Amino acid sequence: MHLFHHPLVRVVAATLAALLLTLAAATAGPVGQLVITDARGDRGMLAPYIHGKNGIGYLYTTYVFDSLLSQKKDGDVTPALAKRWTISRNGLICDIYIDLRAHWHDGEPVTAEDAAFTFSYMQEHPYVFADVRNVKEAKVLSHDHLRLQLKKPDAGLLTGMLLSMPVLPKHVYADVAEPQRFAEPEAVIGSGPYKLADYNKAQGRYVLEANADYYLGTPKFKRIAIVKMATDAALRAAKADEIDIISYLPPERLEQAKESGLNVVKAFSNHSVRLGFNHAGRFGSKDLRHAIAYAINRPALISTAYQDTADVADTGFFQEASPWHSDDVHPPYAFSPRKAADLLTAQGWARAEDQLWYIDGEQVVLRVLASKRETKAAKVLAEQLETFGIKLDVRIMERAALQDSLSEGNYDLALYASSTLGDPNGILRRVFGKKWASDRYSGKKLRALADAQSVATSRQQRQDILNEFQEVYSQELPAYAIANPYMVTAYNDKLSSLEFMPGGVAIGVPSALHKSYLVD
Amino acid sequence: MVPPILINLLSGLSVRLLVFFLLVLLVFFLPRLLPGDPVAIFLSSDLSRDLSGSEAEELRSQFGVAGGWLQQLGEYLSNLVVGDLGYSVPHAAPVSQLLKAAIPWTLLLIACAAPLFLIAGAAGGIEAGKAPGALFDRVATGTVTVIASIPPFTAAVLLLLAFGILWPVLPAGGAEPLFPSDNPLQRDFDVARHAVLPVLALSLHEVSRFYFLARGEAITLSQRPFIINACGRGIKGWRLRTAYYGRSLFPVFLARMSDSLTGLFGAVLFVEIVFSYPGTGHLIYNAILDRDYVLLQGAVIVMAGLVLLLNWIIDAVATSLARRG
Amino acid sequence: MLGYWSPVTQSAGFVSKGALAASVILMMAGFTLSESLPAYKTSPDVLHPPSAEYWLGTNGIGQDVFIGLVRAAPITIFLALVTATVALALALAASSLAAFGGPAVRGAVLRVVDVLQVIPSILLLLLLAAWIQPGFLGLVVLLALTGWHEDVRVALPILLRELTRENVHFARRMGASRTYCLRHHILPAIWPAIVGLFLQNVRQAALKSAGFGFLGLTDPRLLTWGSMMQDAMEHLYTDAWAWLLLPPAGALSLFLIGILIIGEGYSQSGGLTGKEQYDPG
Repeated sequence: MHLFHHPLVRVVAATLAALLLTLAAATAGPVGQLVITDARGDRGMLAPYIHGKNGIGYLYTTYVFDSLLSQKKDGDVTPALAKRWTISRNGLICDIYIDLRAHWHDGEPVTAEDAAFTFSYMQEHPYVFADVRNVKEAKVLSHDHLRLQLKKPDAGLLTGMLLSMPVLPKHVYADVAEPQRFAEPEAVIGSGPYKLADYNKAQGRYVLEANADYYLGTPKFKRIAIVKMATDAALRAAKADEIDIISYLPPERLEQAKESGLNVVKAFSNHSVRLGFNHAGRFGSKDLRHAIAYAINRPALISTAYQDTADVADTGFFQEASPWHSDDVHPPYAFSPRKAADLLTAQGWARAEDQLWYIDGEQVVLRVLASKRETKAAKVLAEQLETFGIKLDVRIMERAALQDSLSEGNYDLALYASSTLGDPNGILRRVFGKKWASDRYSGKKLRALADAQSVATSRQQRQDILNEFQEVYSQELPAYAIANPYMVTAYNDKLSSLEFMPGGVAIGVPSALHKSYLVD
Repeated sequence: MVPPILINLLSGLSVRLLVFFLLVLLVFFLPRLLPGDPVAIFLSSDLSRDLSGSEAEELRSQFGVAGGWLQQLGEYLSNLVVGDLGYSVPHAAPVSQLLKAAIPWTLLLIACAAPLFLIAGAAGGIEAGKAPGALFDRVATGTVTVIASIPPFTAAVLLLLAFGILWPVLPAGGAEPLFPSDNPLQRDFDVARHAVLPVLALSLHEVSRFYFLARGEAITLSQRPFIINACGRGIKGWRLRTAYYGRSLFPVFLARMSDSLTGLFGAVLFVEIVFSYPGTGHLIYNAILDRDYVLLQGAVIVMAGLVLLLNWIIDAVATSLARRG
Repeated sequence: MLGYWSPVTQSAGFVSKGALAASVILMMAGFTLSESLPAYKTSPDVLHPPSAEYWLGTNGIGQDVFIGLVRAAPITIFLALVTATVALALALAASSLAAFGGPAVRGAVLRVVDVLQVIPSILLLLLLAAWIQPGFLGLVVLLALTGWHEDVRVALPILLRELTRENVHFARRMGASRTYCLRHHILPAIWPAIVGLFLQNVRQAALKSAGFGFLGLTDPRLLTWGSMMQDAMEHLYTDAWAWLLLPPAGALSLFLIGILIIGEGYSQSGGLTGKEQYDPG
C-alpha cells in the first residue's frame, strides 16, 4: 500500500471503519431508488438544447421535459401536456387544449403561452430532434387554448412534431439568446415526472428526483440514478442488488444477466445494418444493385459476424416490429451466385480465367466503406464478395473521416446502420437525405410515394401508401438491408414487464425505458 | 547578487516561449486539416433532422469554424491572450471548466506514480549496479528487461484483467464509486482504491527507464575513489545507498525526468483509456474523434503548458545542481 | 552492460550480427510461409477455444489466431525494421547537417529537436492517424517523423567528437578528401553507436505501432500483433482473452526482448553504454 500519501497513511484505520459503516448504511438505503446503468455515461445535461445529440440523451431528457403528447405502451399517442386536440378537415389548423394541472418544476403553471413560445423559440433556435418549420403561426386563444396554423398538411403532426417537441418554460427561456450555452440550473426546469437534482459530467452520473406534483400520476421512484458503468461491473453490481437496470446489455451476455437474477427483455433494434450504394457512381443501375445483393449470403454473414445477436433484415426498409411494416413478403435476394453472374454479364461485366470480374478488360475494384462498429460485418462481407470474384478495397474508417468520404461520394459501397423507427416521415431523411447514414437515393417513383404519405389524411391511407413504398423500396433497393440486430434490457423486480416501445420512443429511440414505466 | 537558479530559469524561458507559440499554431492548424466537419459529426445521429444552410452556418460560428482560417486564428489568439479558452458546444460547457474537472485526475495519477517509479527504479538500479552480475542483479535486470518489453497498454490491460476482473479486488474503471460517500475520509479512500491500478500501470511503464539509468550510473560510481573509500571505511547499508550513490544519482535522474516528461504524459493517455479514468487523456482522445476543435486546442495548450513549465523548472534545478558539482 | 545476458553473448559482435541476420531471415521466411499458409478467413466457428483444429483458438469472427499470429509476424517485424531505418537516416542527415553546417544551422537543428522533444508525440500521432488512417507506408512515415529527433541528441555529440579527433585532422592535413575521412575514419568510429540507435529505434517503432493498432487508429486490414491485441479487448470479460490476448502480446514481448539482447551484444562489443540504450520510450 505504498500509494497512500501522508494524509491517507494516518487515516487508513479510520477509513476502514468508515467503510464498514457506510456499507451498513447503504443496505438500509431508501427503497424508492432506481439505479440505471449506462455503459457510455455522460449524455450531457438533460435540457433540450444541451443534451447529447443522440437518442439516449433525448430519452433521458424526456424524463425531465414533457411534450404535448406522449405514448401508450403499444406506441399510440396519448395525452400529455395537451389533454385534447382537434385537427381541421383540411389538416391545416390544429387546436390544442393544455392540461392545466401541469406545473413547471419551479411551481409555475404550464399554460398555452409556454407551448406557443416553444414553437416560436424553436423556429429561431433550431432544436434538431423536433422540426417546427411547418408551423406558420402558434396563437394563444386563451389560458389553455392554443391554435396552430400549418403551412401544409402533415400526416406526422401527432406522431412526429407534437410527440417529440419538449415544451419549454417561457419564463425561463424567453431571455436566453444562446440556448446551446445555457447550462444553468434553471435550464432543466421542465414539466416531466422527474427533476434533475444532480449531474456530474466527469463521472457520467445523473440523479433525478420525483416531481411530487406530476399531473399524470405519481412517479414510481423517489430517486432515479443513471450511472456510467461497464457491462461487466454492472452485472456484478446487479448480483449485489446495487443497480436495477442495465439499459443496453450486449445481447450475447443475456444468459449471464439471467444468472445474475435479472429479468431480460429482448427485441429487434430495428436499427438495420444496410449496404448502401453510390447512386451517383456505378450503382445508379438497379441491376447492378441486385447483382451485389444476390452475391451476398446474408444468413452466412450473420452467423459469422453476429451469431445470435441479429437476424436477417427485411429488404423493404421498415422492419417486422414496426407498426408501419407491411404484411407483404419482400424479395429476400437469396444467395445465388448464378443470378448475380447473369445480371453482371448483362451489364457488360465479364469474368476472366482468374475468376475475377472485369469491365472492358479492366479489373473491377470496388471501394467499400464501413464504420468501426460494422468492422466484423464488413470483413465477412468483403470475404464473400471476393470469393465471388469482385476485388474490394475495404476501408474501415473513424467516424468523422467516414462521413466525409461518404458525403464526397468517394466510395462504391458503404456499410452503415440507421434507425427505421419513429414517425414514417423519417424516410425522407433516411432514404433521400444528405446525411452519412442516409441511402442518398433520388429515384422519382419512391420519392413520390414518400411525399404522398407525408400528406396523407388518414392513417389507413398513409399505411396503404407506405405498403407500396416498401414494395418499391425492396425492388429498387436504394440500400440492401443486411441485419437487424437485437437489443436487450435487463432489469430487476423493482419494475415489471418492460417492453421495447413499438415504433420507438418519440423520435424513434429503440428503448424499453419509456417514462410511462417510471410513473404509476 | 542574483542566485544562479534564477539565471537558469531565465535562460530556459525564451526557448520554451517559442516552443509554446509554435504549439499553439500547430494545434490550431492540424485539426483543421483532418477530414470531417465538426458540425456534421455533432449532428450525425439519424434521429436528428437536417439543418438548413443558414442554421448550419450559425452553428458553425458556435464551433469556432465559421469564416476563413485566418479570421478564426485571429479570433482564437485574441481570446487566448485574455485567457479565454473558448466554449465546447458538444459538452455544453466552457473548456476551462472541463479542464478544471479533468486535470486533477491526471495529476493525481502522475503525482502518485512518479515517486513510485523513481524510488523503485533508483533503489533497484543501485542495488543491482553495486554488484553487477550478482544474484540480485541477474534477477532484477531480467525482470525489468521483461517489463520493458511489454507494451504499456498491454501491461495496463493485464493489470486490469488480473485485479479488476479475474480476481476483482480493485475497481476496474473510473475514479470514484457510483455514489461518492459524504464522509471525506471514506471518499479519499475510495479515490485511492480507484487510482491503484492506473498508478501501477503507469509506474510499470516508467520504471525500467530509471532502473537502467541508475544501474549504469551505479556501476560507474562503484569504481570511483570516494565510494571505494567509503566502503573501506565500513560505510554500508542505507547510508551508502542514499548518501553516496543516491546523492550522485540525483542530477542524472533530474535530467532524465525532464527529457521523459512528454513521454509520461503520453503514457497517461493509454492508461486513462484502458481504465476509463476521467482525466485529460480521455478528454483529448474524444475531442479528436468528435472534432471538437475548441476543446482539443484548449486541452492541448494547457497540458503542453504544464509539461513545459515542469520541464523548465526541472531543467533549471538540474543545471544549478550540475554547476554546483 | 547487462551482466545477466553475458554468458549468452560471449562473442557479442558475432552473435548480435548473427541474431539480426536471423530475424531478417525469419521475416523473409515468414513472408513466404504466410503465402503457403491457409488463408486468414472468417468462419462461423467463433471464439473457439484452442483445439487440435485451431491450435490457438479463433477470434470474434472465426479467424484462426495461430494463422493470424504467423501472418502478422513478418508485417510487424518488417514495419519495425523499416521505420527504424528511416528514422535513423533522418536523424543522421540532421546530425550531419548540424555538424558540418556551422553554428547557425546547428542552432536551428537543435531548436527543432527541442520543439519535437516537448510536443507529446502521441498527440501528433493521434491527430495524423485520424487524418490518414495509415496503412503500412503511412505508419512508417508517421512513426519515423515523430521518432528521429531523439536520435539526434545521441548522434550529434558523438559525430562532433569524432570530427575533432586528431586522426581526422591529420588525414585532412595529409590531403585526404572529406569522403575519404568519412569512410575510413568517422564511420568506423561511430558505427557501433549507429547500430545501437538502430536497435533502439526498432524497439520504439514496434512499441508505438502496437500502441496504434491498439487504439484502433491503423488501417484495420493491416494485420499486426498490435491490432490482434485490439481484437481481444472486447473479450476481456470472457475466457477468450486467454487465447486472443496472450499469444500476440507474448510474441511482441519476445521480439522486443530479442532486440534488447542483440543490443546488449552490441554494447559488449564496444557500442553505446547501457545508459542511452535501454529506454522504453
